[in-house]
Order: sequence, then structure tokens, then C-alpha cells
Amino acid sequence: MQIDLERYKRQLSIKAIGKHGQQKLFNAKVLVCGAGGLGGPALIYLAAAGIGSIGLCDFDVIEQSNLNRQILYNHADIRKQKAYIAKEKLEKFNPDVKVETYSEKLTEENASDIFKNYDVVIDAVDNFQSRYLINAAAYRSSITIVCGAVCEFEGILTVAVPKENTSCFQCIYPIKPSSELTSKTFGILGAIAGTIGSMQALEAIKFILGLHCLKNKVLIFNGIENTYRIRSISKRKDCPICK
Amino acid sequence: MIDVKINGENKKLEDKINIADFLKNNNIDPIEVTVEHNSEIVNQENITKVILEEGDTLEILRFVGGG
Ligand SMILES: [Zn+2]
Repeated sequence: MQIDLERYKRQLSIKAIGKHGQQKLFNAKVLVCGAGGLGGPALIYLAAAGIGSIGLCDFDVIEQSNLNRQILYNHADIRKQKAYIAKEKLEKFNPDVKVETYSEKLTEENASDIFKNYDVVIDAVDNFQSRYLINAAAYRSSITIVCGAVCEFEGILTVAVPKENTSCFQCIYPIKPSSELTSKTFGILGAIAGTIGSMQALEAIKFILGLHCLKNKVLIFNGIENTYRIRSISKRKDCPICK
Repeated sequence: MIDVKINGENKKLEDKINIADFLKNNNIDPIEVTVEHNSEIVNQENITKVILEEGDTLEILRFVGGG
């Protein structure tokens, strides 16, 4: 496809992108799991950057309590399917982008089938169970994972590349959280989710362009203290996923 | 006084202390975090047994999973 020189003018002038990089972005296939507080900004920035094929996986409907952080939706969208509304908005936002939707719950069974069509999966879900599932399925399908998560004023971000044999999400949290913890509902602030979701789009874009990304590392963001800490994560010898 | 490294920062502690007491003193609920002592994951059942000593490193990472 001919690159729209006007639309992407301000990023084509970035040395690390240029026409060649823009073509790479257009050829890339990125799947976003979860079109909520993280997935919304991630999807918008991926579409804005001109990622040619975007998949989005979310089976939820929009609820009023989503609107403090899920900026893809507005009051009139309440009770509508997230995947459907998100696709409509993203395609209007950038007609160059083809959006495929999966409005089903991600399971061990369907994950590999969906993942095989993509180069990168963005883990933007809202629970640990799905995060472990995405991590495992992405390693089976050998696709890169950009994982982001938030809780109150904190956020984490990491990239795992199965093809390069990096450490994974399960190396960061080898012991799963207790049911006592996962049954609790923690608060989420839109601006924190927006920060981490935007960074997820950025990591995906850099990975596609072949630039530095957060492999074998986790970034820990503290929105109260205004601190970012980057910690090395080595592969655990006993990790059942990235071993 | 002993010197330890907590989440990448050098800290001084009064004395040796077990992980459970260290978390309690810092108002951290052990079920909300993953703890790594000298690069080894500490299981919940061992947090009273593992002792923070001179030169040790401790990494405490909150379970952050929302979106
Ligand atoms: Zn691993």
C-alpha cells in the first residue's frame, strides 16, 4: 500500500521510522487483549501510528463504571459490546487500519487459534488468570507479548519475546496470587491506566521497528512518587512457560 | 545496624529481621506482594523463617494485575 505521506508526516521525519519503518508498521499485526483502561489508549495509539492490522479481543459490554478510565467509550455506548464500538471508533479514527474483533472469552482452546494470526499480543486484561493464560499461549504461538498492568497509583510494564528466549510474565510472578487477593477489587485511576496503556503501544511499535524494548526487564511505575524503576528479570530455571 | 538492599536501594536496618516482620513494619500485606530474597522467591509459608541479614537483597513487588 502507498503510505499516506500527509497523515504520517510527523513520524516519517523521525530517523528511526522513515518510510521504511512506516511500511513495517503497516505490515504488522497486533492483537490487543482487553479493550478497557489499558487497551483503549493502546489501541488508539497503535491505530494512530498506522499499524495495518489490529485485532481486539474483549467479550464485555460497556458499563457506566468503566467510564472513569475507558476512554474509547462514552455515555451513549453503555450496554453496547466493547469490541463492536471500539472497532467502529478505531476505523473512523484511521481508515488505513483493518480491525478484526473477537468478542469471545479468551480460553486455552481458542487462544492459539487467534494468536497465530499476529506478531505481537498486548496483554491489557484486568485479571491475573487471563494474564497467565495469555503468557502461556503466546509462548506456544511464539509471538511477542507486551504486558501492562495497573493497580491504584502503580503500574508495571514488560516485554517477552519467545523467539529470543527471554524471561516471561510468570518469571516476574512465579507464585500466583491467592484467591483471597484476586477476589478483591482494587481501584484504578484512568490517567495511570492511560500512562501504561500508551507505553504498551510504544513498546509494540519499537519492537516492530526493531528498536530497544523492555525485554528481560520490568518497569515499575509509581504515580504518587513520580518514579520509574527498571528491574532486570532473569529467566527462572523452573519456569514452566519460558524454560 | 546492618546494610541491606531493598528494591535496589541501600538501607540500614536496626538488626536482622525475618521477612514477615519486615513487611509488617512497612505496612505491607504479605498476600499482596511477591518477595525475592537474594534472588530466591520466598513462599508465603516461609516468610517467618527467612531472615534478612547483612548484605542481603530483597525485592518486593506488588501484585499489579488490573486494567
Ligand atoms: Zn518464564
